Amino acid sequence: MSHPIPKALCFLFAAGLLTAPGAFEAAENRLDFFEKKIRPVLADNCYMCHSAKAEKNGKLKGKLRLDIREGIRGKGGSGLTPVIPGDPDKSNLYRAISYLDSDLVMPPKTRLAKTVVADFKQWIEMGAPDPRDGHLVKAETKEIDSEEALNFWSFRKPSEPRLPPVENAAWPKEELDFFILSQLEKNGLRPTPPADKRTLIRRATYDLTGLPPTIVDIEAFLADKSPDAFGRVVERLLASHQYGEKWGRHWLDVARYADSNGLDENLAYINAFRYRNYVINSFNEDKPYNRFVQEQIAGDLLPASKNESDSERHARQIATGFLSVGAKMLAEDDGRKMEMDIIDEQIDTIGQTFLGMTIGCARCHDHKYDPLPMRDYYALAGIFKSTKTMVNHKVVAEWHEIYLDSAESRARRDLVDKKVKKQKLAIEHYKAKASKTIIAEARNNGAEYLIAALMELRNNARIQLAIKEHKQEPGGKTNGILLIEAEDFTRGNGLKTFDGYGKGIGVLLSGGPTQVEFDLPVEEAGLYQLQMRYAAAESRPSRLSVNGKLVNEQAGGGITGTWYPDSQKWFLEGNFRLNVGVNTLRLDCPTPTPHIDKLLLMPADQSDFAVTRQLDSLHDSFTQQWIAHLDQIKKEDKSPLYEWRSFIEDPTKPIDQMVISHIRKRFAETREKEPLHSLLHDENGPLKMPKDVEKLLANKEQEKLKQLKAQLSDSEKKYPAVPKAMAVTDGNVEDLRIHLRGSYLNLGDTTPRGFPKITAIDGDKIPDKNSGRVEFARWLTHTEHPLTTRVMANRIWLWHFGAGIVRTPDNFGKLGVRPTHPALLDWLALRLVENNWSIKQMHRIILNSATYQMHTTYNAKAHEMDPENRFWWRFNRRRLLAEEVRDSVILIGGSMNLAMQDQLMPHKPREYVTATGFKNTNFNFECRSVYLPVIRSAVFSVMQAFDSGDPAVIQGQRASTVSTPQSLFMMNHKMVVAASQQVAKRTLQAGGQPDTVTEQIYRQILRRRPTEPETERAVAFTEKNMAKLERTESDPARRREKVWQNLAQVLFSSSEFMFVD
Amino acid sequence: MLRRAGTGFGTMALAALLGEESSAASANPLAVLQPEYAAKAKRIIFLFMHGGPSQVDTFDYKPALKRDHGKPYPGKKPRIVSSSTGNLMASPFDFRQHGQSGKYISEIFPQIARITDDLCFINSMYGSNSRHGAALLELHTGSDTFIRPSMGSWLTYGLGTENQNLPGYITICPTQTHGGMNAWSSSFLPAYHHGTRIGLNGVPAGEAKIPFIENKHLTIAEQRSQLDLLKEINSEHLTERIHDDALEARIASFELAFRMQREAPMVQNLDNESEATKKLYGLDKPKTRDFGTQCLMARRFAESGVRFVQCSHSYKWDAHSGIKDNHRNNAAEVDQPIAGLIRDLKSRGLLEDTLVMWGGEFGRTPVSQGDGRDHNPHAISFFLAGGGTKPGITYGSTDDHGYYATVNRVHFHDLHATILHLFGLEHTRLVYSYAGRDFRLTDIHGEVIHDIIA
Repeated sequence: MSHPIPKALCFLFAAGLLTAPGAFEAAENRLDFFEKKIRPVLADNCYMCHSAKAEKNGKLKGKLRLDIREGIRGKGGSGLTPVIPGDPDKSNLYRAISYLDSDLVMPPKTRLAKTVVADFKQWIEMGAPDPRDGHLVKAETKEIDSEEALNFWSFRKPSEPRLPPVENAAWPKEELDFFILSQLEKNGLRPTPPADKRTLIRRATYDLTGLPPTIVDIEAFLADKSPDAFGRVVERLLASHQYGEKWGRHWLDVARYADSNGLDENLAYINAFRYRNYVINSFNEDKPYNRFVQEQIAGDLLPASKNESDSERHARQIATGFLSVGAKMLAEDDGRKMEMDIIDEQIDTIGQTFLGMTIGCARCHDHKYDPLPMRDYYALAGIFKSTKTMVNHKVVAEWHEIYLDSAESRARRDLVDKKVKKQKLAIEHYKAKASKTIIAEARNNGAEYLIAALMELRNNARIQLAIKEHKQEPGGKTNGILLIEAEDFTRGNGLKTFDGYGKGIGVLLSGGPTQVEFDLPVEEAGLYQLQMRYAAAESRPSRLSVNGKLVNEQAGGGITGTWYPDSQKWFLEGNFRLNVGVNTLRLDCPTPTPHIDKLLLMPADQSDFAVTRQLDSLHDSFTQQWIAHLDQIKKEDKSPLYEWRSFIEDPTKPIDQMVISHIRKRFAETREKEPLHSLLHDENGPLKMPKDVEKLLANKEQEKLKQLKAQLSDSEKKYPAVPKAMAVTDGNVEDLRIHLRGSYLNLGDTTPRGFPKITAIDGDKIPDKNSGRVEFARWLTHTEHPLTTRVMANRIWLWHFGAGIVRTPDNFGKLGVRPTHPALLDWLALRLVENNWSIKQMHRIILNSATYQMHTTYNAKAHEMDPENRFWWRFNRRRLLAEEVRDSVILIGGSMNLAMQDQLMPHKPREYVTATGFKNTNFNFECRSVYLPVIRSAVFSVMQAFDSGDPAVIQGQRASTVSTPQSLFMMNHKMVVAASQQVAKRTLQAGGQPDTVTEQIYRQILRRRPTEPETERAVAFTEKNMAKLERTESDPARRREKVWQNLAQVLFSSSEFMFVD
Repeated sequence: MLRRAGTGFGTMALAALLGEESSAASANPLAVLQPEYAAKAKRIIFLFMHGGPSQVDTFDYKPALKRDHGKPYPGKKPRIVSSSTGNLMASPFDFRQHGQSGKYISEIFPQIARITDDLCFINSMYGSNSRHGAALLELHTGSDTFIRPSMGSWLTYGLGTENQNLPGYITICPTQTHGGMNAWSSSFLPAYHHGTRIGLNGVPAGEAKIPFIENKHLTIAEQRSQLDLLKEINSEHLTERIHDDALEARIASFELAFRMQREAPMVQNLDNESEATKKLYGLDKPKTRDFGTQCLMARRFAESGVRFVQCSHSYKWDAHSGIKDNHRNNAAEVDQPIAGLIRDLKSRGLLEDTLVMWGGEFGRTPVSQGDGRDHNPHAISFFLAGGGTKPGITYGSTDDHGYYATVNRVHFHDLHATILHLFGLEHTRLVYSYAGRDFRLTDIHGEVIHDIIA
């Protein structure tokens, strides 16, 4: 027996040897290594982009120079540390040339030879000796002069403008009209005359509710001659539930709302709808905009109001769903990248949505145009790194959700929790108690388990060796080893499969009693051993005979857990003598066979078989724990099993009777307090209670355990069903380091959490223990915040007029378009704050203005001068939005259900929404479009055709195209056909002459009476088609319905229906 | 710089979707545009092998893999991997040399092997991400993180399309998994450039239709009479609202839709193809019929002036286990149709200016995962044909065992840059301004691979 200490010494000595040459080598030799092996490679492969010359030619990449020592040691402007002497794995240069990270590989086009890479490794290990000199010129940073940048128009505080003077003093109805009129007059333009009342009510109704006005409403308004008639219409519309559905949808566009994550594994955001409905409710309640913003960023952290109800508390928690509903790559092997990508998505959204700033640009470099350095980005990123949006960043990652509980449901939950905990404990106690005798017995058998474990290790090792040796001589001599695919049996009634149970490998299996034979060619007579590899969920022993002689009655009787290939294991089945020539091996199974993959025949070890047979009475679970333990102690010289380490290190080493006797003796002799005795009694040792201990218990005990478990499961069912919401909460608070080039592999300085320094507003200090979201939300909604207020004022204007005062609503930075009416924008921003951030009040001001009430009429002179209507000389005609098209068609058809909806997707939480072979989401609901599921990567084709846009990106302004798919939709889609048919049927049922029918159809679809020529034309159309249809439609009633249906469809398709003046 | 209207607002309406030779073509966002310099390719057919075919079992022959079978990979495995993998695993397939070029091709592609001298292989492709969704997104859009406009959208944005009666960008039976629509999305580019999906994975190619194109309720005559009335009504509406581009375009768009409704089914109808052609594409055999139909339809679309056509062999190549059967079976489904397509294009003189591209979202590991292989974005094999590419060459190579692209590496960005170049577009100048910056298909990367251009 060798002693433990010398081995450890030996190891230390060996380790010393590795560095010894470096330590004693002459300095010249080390520099020689650099000159011979490193410098030429750098010069040939790297200097082109990383040297003084490259810098001079403007070709320097990544601010990194490799032609001087300072550069290669990481003191340049790159922020990278190419070489950390002694540590190749942390040296970016080494990582890059080893091609380990796909985002940093050098040289980019052609990889260096392996030997060269090895040279670099050795060089770095020897301390990266480098005689080169030269100094880096401090890299010039092109940082934007913030003083000057902050003077940019959008970063300055809005100032109260004076109303500009106008000539036509009779025109303005609201103060805002002065700003518009004065500009028109300055440019020699005149406002277009006001829209007629019919046009105005249609415009306002679509604008505020997304639906057409009813005939009753139109006629009431036409009849109302009082001066505040329109004001009353506006109030009625603002008070309708449909208002929130229209304006909430506008907000959902900039909140990039969707009901699935949309990238790779596309899972259902089944609870996202709560955020959607929160938005709709907030608009209907006229929630002050500052509060609305605060809730979406930090609702969970805002102080509870006095006597706050559960639903009020839930609402502000649900609001933070804003941060969660973005598009996410949930299957990303690089978890850290996933986390930073999700944070980036949040920052990018917040920046554009609230601030009109493209902060996301500063992830990889300082913003090129706006005063947003990387440190501001990572200051903000720290806030969201300290916020828990996700439960984990594994594949497939899980987002964070909260319970929308109440005091009552919490109390019930606590109660159940208590009981469940108690019951779980009781089960554990019972198991421990019941397994005592089993464990005690196993302790008595300690030696036998160690032997069994060693034998199994040995058996496996021998099999691996045999397979390897066998493979080295394909064809030719067998080397005494035969590896046979079980499904290639010579004769018998077995079956084979290459699918399911045998997927990819092929197995032998059968449907009933089975006999199979294998003819084995043997070149050398001798004692052989048979190993068999199979999977079995239950024991199915066979009689194994060789050349007619029974060898093993229980062959293949082992259990591996399942019938599938992944649980297959090797088993030793017998030792027997074989003759030269063909030997026949036969398996005789009274039942179906286990699923056998392979047979392995190899020269036997005399001793093995007898020994393993003796050990059959042991419990395999303990044996496996012993094997795991042996693996664990491989490197521990303090283990009491150390004296048998040679068998662990070389598991092929024979275990003879001597060894076995020795083990038994040592175990028998061990006394209390000795290490071996302690090991046997260690509760975490190889004889700990096995996980599957239940199987080892007596029947009575198993019954009892079953009972206890049933009780537990009954209790668990009593948890109250509490709805959940996507929401964030504060996580581990930390500041981030700057990620150079946006990669977490290249970290720079730490940036304390904070807010972008683009305004004069400092904001509150972020406490050490909080993420800083509340402070950020307050900073965002400061009454003097130049961006938050202007951006929202501009959005409101844009959603009313079809274009903004700033025509790039999501970009108020240097690359954005300057406002056409800066004073008006300031005026609007100040009114928003002044009116307690009320959005409805903004609607009143705007809708009451003469500017809003102008007609859309063309004017040649004005059009020539200002074709894009930047001066607002008329109101912009617009196409209906996607939702408005669908809602109007269904509403007029008569099947619209106007009720608010929850989640309409039939999916379970986190279920795949678009995976092949799964149920596809259908969109056949008759509710308003805002409630239809928004499936990222499979957007509803109708919404798609009418420019609903990609829900992965923020849309301050939707596109408004005219396209072929839109026309095809109106011509062919069953939705339009069905609505047309409904209108025709209903109208015909009411009865009347063709001109009455025409009138009724016009009134329903276009909400007006037809003119006389229109009636004549429509009637002529139906008559002509009645005649034509005779050939294809024999039923005159059906024919009649069809022609009126066709007329209705034409009206649905008309530009008058599709556009709003 | 090739830049179109920035914000995509409605004023950029289809003033004249009135036909191919419209005088007001400049206002038509899909009108044919002249490329920056002489284009070698006018259209592209992308044969997408979803799931990730293994390079070392197809077109990247590695004798060392056979020699070292069962041994550990001598280099370092990548830092980020999908799953744990085992030791090196030899290809279960034989490789033989073919054609004048002597290219080694796996036995599972006997038909492609016969046209090897027409193909331009790139054995040194690589990407950035080891997951299907991200890799697929990167292949199609250049970004493995965010949803961006897809290749086809950039091409129609840059060049318009040649047949106004058909969509300019068609994807046949694409997959809905792994990002679905993101692979043919126009994202922030104007919606005109969104890919038109016909059919879906799982829908037989013969049943794939342009959305909304079918009408089961009306006869052509009925519809014609509806459109005549509609035209009258809309024209009246327009006279009261003169000089409105969108309203004018709308009238034209119904006529175009009507024409498309007639023309598209004609293009998709394969009945008039000769028996010999059908056989060439493998339509006579059940195994090759579906992908053969896709390929034949793709040729007909390309012939009719569609700029970008994608065929998808949907999510079958992901051989984590049983790679032998998996790849043999998949290859058997596509081998004949692909070889048929390229032969057919060649015999019709179309190959000259039609770029055919074959590849998947990533390659696979040379090391085993059971009896399969795991995802590997570090080494991917692609081949191109026609469209101005050099035939009969193999560009770039991987290490001895095919784990990493090592020589003349070609990132997806480089492939994108090269494709645009073949179409006469400079990738650094095809930009779209969005959210405060100029976006490109190649982001801030991409180098044209001149060595593969004829």
